[in-house]
Amino acid sequence: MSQQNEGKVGRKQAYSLRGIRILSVEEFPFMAGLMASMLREFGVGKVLSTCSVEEAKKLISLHNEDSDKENHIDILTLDLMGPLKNGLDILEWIRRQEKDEVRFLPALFCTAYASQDIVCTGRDYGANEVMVKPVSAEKLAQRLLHIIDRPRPFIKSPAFFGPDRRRQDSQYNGQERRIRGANDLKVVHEKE
Amino acid sequence: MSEAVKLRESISKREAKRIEASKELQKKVGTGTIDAKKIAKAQDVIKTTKVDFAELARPDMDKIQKAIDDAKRDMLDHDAVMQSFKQPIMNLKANAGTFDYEFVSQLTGMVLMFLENIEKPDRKIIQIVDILHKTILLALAYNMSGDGGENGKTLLGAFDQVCKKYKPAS
Repeated sequence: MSQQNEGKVGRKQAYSLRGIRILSVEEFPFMAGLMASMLREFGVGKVLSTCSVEEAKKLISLHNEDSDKENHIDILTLDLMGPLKNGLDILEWIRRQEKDEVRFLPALFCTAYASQDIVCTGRDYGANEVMVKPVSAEKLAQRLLHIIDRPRPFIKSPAFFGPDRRRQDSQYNGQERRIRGANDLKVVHEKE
Repeated sequence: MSEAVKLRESISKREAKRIEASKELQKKVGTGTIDAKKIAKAQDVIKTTKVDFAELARPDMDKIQKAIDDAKRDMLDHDAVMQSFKQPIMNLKANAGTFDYEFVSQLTGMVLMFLENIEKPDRKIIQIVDILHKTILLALAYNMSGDGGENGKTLLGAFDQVCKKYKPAS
């Protein structure tokens, strides 16, 4: 399914997003409301939104530490443009948590900053996907499809925990190459 | 032995694990896609949302003004000065693009591209950012949504010339 559907939106057979819960963290209430409305139009059953990093952390803990999976937050969208560090703080906090239900939470990091540095920073802090603004429904749908259709494996090393940062299949054999290719890593199934 | 090679050899002794991706989300939503009609409706939400763009832009406009004032007093930390200009301009560009203020989006995009190549800010750079700030204030005051028509084209052309003619202070 994934390969066939990769990157496409709007095909005939539709997902049922009614059963999922998305938490949207925005810097401004107006943008939070807009994002929530768009997600509801996609058919997402439960949309939570907040403009506070601390409240977001509380909501994630409250929902994802619940023993009933139905109550879990399934995807986090994060857009804290001003003090960028706040947005990255929450990602770092999520990936450091002990509970699998929190630390594996898929995160979509939205940013106005199109520079490669910022995109790489979001990825290094543990974002599953990065969406560069301006916001459009098509772009948002594509990023959500990536998260659902092509969930990234996680890498756990002494220096990093988060979704696999490799975005390309091409082989690089220079001095600064990664230690191992994706296939050389020990594969475990901690989550399931 | 280069630092990169040393680092690689040191890290290779440590353990790295690849944890297979969870299929939980796929189980919840089934198979398929997001319906095209729903995507169109979501896009309509953006189009039909009545936004006071001037109000939305105000925090970034204030940040640009503050950055200009600060830079006039002290430009010693070049990176910090350039970042203080670029970040709010980038925010404006993104929000303008979302809410059909194409002229503001293009103008900020043009100035951003110019600023990306500047390492050391000087008085002329401050002037250019100041003119940008004043132009956006005017665009907002006259509610210049869309491409801004003929006035928009003229202003974009003028800014393009200003950016091209810039020479760093010797």
